[in-house]
Amino acid sequence: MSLSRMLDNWSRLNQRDYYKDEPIMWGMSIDLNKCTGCASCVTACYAENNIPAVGKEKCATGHTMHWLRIERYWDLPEGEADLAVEESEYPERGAHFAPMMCQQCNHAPCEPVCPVAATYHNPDGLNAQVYNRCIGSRYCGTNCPFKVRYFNFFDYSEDIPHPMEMLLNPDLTVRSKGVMEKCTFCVQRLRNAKGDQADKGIRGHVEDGEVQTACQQSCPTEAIVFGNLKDSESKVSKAWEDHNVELNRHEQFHEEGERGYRVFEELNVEPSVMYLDRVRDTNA
Amino acid sequence: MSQKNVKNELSRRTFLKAMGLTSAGSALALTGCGDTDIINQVDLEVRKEKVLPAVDPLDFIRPGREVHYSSTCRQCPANCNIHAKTREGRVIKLEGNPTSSTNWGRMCAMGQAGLQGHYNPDRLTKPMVRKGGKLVETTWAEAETLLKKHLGKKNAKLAWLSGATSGHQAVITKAYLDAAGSQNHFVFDTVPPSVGLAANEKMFGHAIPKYDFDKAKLIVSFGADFLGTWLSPVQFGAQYGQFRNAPRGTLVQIEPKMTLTGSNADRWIAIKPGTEGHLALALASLIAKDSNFKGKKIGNLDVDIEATSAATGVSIERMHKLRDMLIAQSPSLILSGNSAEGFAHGSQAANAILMLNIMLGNVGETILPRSKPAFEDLQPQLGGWAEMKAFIDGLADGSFDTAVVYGSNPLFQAPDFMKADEAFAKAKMRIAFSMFPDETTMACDLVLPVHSYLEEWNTSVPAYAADDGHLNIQQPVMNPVFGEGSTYSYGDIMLGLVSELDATFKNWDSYGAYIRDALATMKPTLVNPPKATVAGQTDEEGFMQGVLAAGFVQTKEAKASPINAKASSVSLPQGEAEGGKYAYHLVPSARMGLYDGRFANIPWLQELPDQLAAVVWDSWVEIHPKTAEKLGLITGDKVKVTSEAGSLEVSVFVFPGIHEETIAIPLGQGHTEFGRYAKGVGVNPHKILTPVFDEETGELATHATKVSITKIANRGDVDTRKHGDLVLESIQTSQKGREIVKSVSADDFDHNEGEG
Repeated sequence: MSLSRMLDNWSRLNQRDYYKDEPIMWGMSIDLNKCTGCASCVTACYAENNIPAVGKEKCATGHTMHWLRIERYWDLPEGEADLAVEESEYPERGAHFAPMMCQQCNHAPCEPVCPVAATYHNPDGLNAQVYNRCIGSRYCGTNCPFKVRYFNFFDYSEDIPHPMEMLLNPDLTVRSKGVMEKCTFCVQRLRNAKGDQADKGIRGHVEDGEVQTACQQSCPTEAIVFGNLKDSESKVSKAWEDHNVELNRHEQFHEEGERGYRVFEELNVEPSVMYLDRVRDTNA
Repeated sequence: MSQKNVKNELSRRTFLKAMGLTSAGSALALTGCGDTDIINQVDLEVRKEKVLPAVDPLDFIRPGREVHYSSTCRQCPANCNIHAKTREGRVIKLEGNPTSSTNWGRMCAMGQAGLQGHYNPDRLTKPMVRKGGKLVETTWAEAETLLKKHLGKKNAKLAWLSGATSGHQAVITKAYLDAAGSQNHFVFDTVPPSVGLAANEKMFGHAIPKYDFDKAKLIVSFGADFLGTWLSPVQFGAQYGQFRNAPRGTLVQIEPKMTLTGSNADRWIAIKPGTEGHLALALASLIAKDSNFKGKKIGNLDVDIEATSAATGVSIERMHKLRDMLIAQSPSLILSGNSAEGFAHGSQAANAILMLNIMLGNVGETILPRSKPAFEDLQPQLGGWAEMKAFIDGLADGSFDTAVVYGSNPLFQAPDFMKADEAFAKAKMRIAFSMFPDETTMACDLVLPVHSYLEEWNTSVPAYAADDGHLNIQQPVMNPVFGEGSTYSYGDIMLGLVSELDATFKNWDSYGAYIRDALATMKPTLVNPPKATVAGQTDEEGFMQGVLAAGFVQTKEAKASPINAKASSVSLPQGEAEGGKYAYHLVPSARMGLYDGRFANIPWLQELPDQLAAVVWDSWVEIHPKTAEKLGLITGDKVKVTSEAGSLEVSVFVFPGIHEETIAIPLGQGHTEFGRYAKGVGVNPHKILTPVFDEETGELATHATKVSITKIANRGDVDTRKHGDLVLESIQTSQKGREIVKSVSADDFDHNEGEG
């Protein structure tokens, strides 16, 4: 790729609707009314994506590699004072959980800062990471508002004791030292599903439900819905529609009963993950 | 063996011969469930390609294509049905079986992490025998000779301790013990709520009735952590998902230490430990006296509300609110869990709590009957502390001379006061069937390394079966990780042993054959037994293939007769004995993750942050901010937690979700053996429990211990992820005004949401 072509592609990639005519755009909906914070999805993600457990020492220095983590807070955000409980020493409305993974931003702040175009937007709406192009500048991680990019400070794969290497998923690589990694929406599964469709001569369409991400698959309460946002019949696009969440907005306007929002959408990064408000019965 | 044999002969028996499953002259039958075996029994493939039995395995296993085998997760007694995803002959991922009524295709973190138990680098691969006081590796031939010498005879003084068991695993264990003339089969599992189950049995006639969470408009749970560790978290998680759909049910959780379930409650109520029953009685009294209440009143309900409020720490207004909700939001579901039941009056507390269900008319609505099981012997045995105590007491007083342990770790779990290690040491012969070098295993004289649940044949029954008669089938999903002849399946060893004493068991060459035969025998009793689907297949083959592909069968059960609930009178102790210098209640809390400590050797679960505390790779003691302030403690300080029975040193975690007079130390850590990931990490709160037992069931009162706290070290001033020795995955507890997790009131929740 010549430099001029790379720069040219780059500026086009940063045009908002560059991929608007592509048939697939993967998206997600996470219902915080149902999410219990059990972390089943976290372990499923470790298993599916060859994520190393780094040990206590490295956890202490912030090197944990969990592509998907559970955010847990004990207080309400601004402007929700009416939901607060009366004076109490205890968190009587429980915790605030949100599974947090790469939001696959359509206007991703990580992409333009990569000096080698290792992270780029693919036509399926994924914020892709090319490991063998990555030189480890970590600019992308710095620029990510969600802090969901994880850097390999070490060669974890060298330390896997026998026979634990046998559980590695051969559909994706084990990453080596000096490489940035992050949630891919289980791209290996998506590619497999698309490949299966292509075998049948169908291109650009995957039947809704034919492919699940690992986190979605394991979720006991079905809080996570995943699918093609361009397919108006898919569960995920219906969820987006039901909750009146649209791309190209940096604030969602809600009628009663609509609970959708995207984290930090005021930053105009256009996440592909919609969250639905956590619900609490304030009469209880 | 040659593939030709397999190709030409489809009959299972001939096939078994072809595999050469008998090791001649040996009591131990070889498992021999290699790839070829699996391939000929199973055809479940997500790619929906029709796979014929007895095709050439090289055609079947194509590089780059995954194959899914149906089996059963045996990580906890919930026994979810799984699909094991294999690639090139090794299992790489476990997924839920979508057709299973136990888990509906879902799985929990502990189930997912089963892979790291299966592939654990610390798994035992050779039998070990104690020589000159030390365990040394030996050959299977020698181990077998020893095993025959000690277990191949009648012995009334033989004691056998299993973890929670069911299905044919329970049957073959019982068959052996019957043949050996021993009455001493004990079952111990830490987490199942044995006191509550006994109370259920008395009140509803079912230890575990069926629950309909979705139908309940209100769930009031007294410490039942049904999203975390209570009976079947994935089943209840799925039901909870439905419950939260419109019309959205309300969840109230009442407990001294916030559990995962508590953190999802619409109202979490901190209660003083041991007073849950008192609160339930007060609620019953308030409800009975309310003019809006039309149901039946039970017993003498003259309760001093003010005194109860003072004792429980729950305000009178809150009680009135609960009364109004319970009357208005019917049907409801009242659950009792471990933290309400772990006291000397635990059974009485459970009675008081469960009785509310009868009063409020929930029986028959959200609490449903079960049919009498068609196969009693297959039913789950969850056991409890009373059995563990009987096992240890028997060893201590010399009633037993031989101890066998499988699937349980008494030396780790038992509190110090039980002196389990001394009692265990008294046995003349101690034998462990074990996958890992855990505390009990390392104290044995003969150690037999067994298959993981992904390598062996078995059947099991889920602790909570959503459908009556649900029988799980477990099949090897790959060759043994460490190769043929290094580990054996428990079932095969047991079959070898029992056939020494009971000739009828000589009919089967292997445990797998025994299981398949048992299933074939059960065929007439099954609901919709699978039929031959492929031309040229006999009915027998079609049945077996269908059964294995499904991963479970359902036996025909009689119609369940309605529950005839019997409320018993409740007597609860008035006031609490002064703790003296022990001012704080200790809650040994089980959590989704390390569970009772059996998963401490799984790095994924060690590194899975505690859902509420966010601590990894460690133990900690949860202390309320007010109490911490009083004691001058901050997160990361080291304290000594002392009870009458002993003390522990552990790091402080200041946590608002705990009653002020209570501290909690999670279970899971404190292993002195158990491999590289577990050994030497953290502490085990069970060790310092005091000898208090439930008066009715004799179960250990796990929540009755009182402790004192003394500071022994400061963590230092720096506030980082690393608080002293404690590592937190997240130090942030506040959203700082940002809208990361937004909330709305249920009033605004669209009441058409979630339907259809």
